Amino acid sequence: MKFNLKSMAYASVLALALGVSATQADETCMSPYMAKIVGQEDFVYVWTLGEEGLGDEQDKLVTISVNPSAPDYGTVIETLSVGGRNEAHHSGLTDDRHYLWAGGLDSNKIFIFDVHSDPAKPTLFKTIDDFVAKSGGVVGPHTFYALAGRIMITGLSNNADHGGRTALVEYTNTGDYIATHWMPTDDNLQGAIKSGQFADGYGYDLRAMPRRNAMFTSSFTGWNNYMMDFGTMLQDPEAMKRFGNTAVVWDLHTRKPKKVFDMPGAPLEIRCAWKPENNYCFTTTALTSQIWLMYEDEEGEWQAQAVGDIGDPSKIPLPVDISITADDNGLWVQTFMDGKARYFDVSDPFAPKQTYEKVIGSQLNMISQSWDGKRAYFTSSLLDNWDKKGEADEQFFKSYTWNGEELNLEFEIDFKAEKLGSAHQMRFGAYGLYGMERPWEAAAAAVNKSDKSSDLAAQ
Amino acid sequence: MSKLSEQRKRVLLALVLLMSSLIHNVDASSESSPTPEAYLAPGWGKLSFDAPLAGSYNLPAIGQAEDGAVLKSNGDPARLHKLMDGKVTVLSFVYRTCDDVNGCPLSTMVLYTLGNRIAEDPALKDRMRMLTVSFDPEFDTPDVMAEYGESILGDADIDWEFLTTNSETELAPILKDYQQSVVKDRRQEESVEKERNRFSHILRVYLIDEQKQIRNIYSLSFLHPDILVNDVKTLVMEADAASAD
Repeated sequence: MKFNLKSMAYASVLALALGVSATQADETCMSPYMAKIVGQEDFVYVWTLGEEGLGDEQDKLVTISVNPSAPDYGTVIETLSVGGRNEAHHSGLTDDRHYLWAGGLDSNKIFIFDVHSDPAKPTLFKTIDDFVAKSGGVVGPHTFYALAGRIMITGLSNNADHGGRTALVEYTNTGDYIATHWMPTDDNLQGAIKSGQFADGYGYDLRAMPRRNAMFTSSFTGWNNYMMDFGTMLQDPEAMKRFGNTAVVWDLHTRKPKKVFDMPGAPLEIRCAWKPENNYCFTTTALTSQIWLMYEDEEGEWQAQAVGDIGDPSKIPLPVDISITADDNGLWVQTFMDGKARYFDVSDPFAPKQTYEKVIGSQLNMISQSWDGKRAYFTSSLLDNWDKKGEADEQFFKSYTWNGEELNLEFEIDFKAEKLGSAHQMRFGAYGLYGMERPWEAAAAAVNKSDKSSDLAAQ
Repeated sequence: MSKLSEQRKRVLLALVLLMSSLIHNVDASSESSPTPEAYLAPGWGKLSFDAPLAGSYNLPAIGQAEDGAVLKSNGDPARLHKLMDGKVTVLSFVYRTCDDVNGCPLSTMVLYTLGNRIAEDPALKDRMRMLTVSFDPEFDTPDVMAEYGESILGDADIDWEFLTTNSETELAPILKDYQQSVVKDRRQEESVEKERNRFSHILRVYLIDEQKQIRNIYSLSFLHPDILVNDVKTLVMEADAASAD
């Protein structure tokens, strides 16, 4: 088999669409079911909250060019507003990466964007506005997680009391409802083992580990709290009691809960190790500032334990998004209150050690890193009512390179100055996923071909 | 498992191990990507957990399995719905020259193993049919699919149809209906002396009940004979319970 360098590069891009291995991801936190980007991403799609008095005030999908070889590198190349404010929050791609699902925690609307027809110019394919009715009362569509040919959505709340009891809701990739799976509670454990004091039925994030037929969920708080002003909520003792204290391991295939773990202080994002021998997942607790490990013991039983602190828990740094590296040895942990990105060496998952930190901004939430770990992107917004006030309410997208020792800023976009809104979740896109050549590379190749033809004609 | 099926499995495994090394070399030479390790999907080995017991879970309907015009391997025109009539159906898409270790050879091997296990069970033998449709009508003519089917099946007693279509135009709506993502390698299109097509595709296999509703979709992470056998049994048990009511 003979390949020149150009064809090898092309083969590398083609591998994007194959999804041949759970160890070939771009964003290292994505579903193992998903098609993978092996090389350089071309776009970051930022699901952005509209802000009153800023630009068109609407939630929007912002497309940023992030390939350094692109002529428009480092700029916003497209915005797509969705006609109102919904408390835009998280987003997720389907397994074939044809559609990007993005949710509104307040309106319960779900926007499905077509990102495959023209990855540089997403379009709105469908809006789901009956999520609560279809799901049987689930409120606050949060995580959108790719399974084979479908999307699993975690809820944050319910329409009965707008508290934290909620469910997982399953849809087809193109937006047809399939099923609702309620979280186990003391009233109805659904066959799950309650391993501690709590079975609160709360929800937040979700990850799957197909190699162990396992699915994991964490827990946050209901609509009553996440739509409340942050300062007001902190002063309300009753409100502060209404946070999740659990994580659940599920049978992935049957969608049945197997075991409920106590995990006090609102465990949020879940990230599972990639290597087949590393059967564990990390999460961090927002209020108690701890790193937790859910792991399979030698008997094949899933266990959970706190394995380290993040900063000084007494100061409530509020760990938010986390990101595991492709080799399972590193964990980025963002703390909202001090705006820090913190890198933990987790080569011993039972003993994480923080080895680096950097202040990214006055507040910090999300991170997306490339598969090789050399690029990391950060955004600022947590929730509309929880973001800082006044000048401290910086809203940004920042692109860094990581050399293993320090983060170096490559470019940043001020979402307020650009009148875009509050920057939240990021997802990657690439031409190669859809068999498309990058336009600037195709143009250069055409010029080359034309030059060669001219040379031949002149001979 | 019969001696014959073991032999066929070994031949398939040898093929994919070869292909695995090729994939590794291509990726390792790329300047823009890290070196991925050669990886064999779980379907090639022993399932690393016990498949949930048949009948102990529900498989909610994912949507209607769409119809489409196809050609049987004897050249006769047929409709997908007609072929699905009265049986639980397992549907896969492949192309004859696919050499992705975790693509078509994987799904073919898993379906072959599934078919044998179902064939060995008198209660299930006549309840399941497998349909494999080619992505590549340009090269995978009915004759080619017939040869392909014979090379896979040998004398195995499995209800398995190897199908193709008249043209890419006739294939396109089927792929669209099943949301089967396929990207044709452009280099092949540009080649003057094209000998074969290449495609990149998400591996998907569909489980369809007797009412022609899709009840499960499998990608490489979960495509394993142990899981499929129990899912097929679950649908048969469900159908039997419904007809008894």
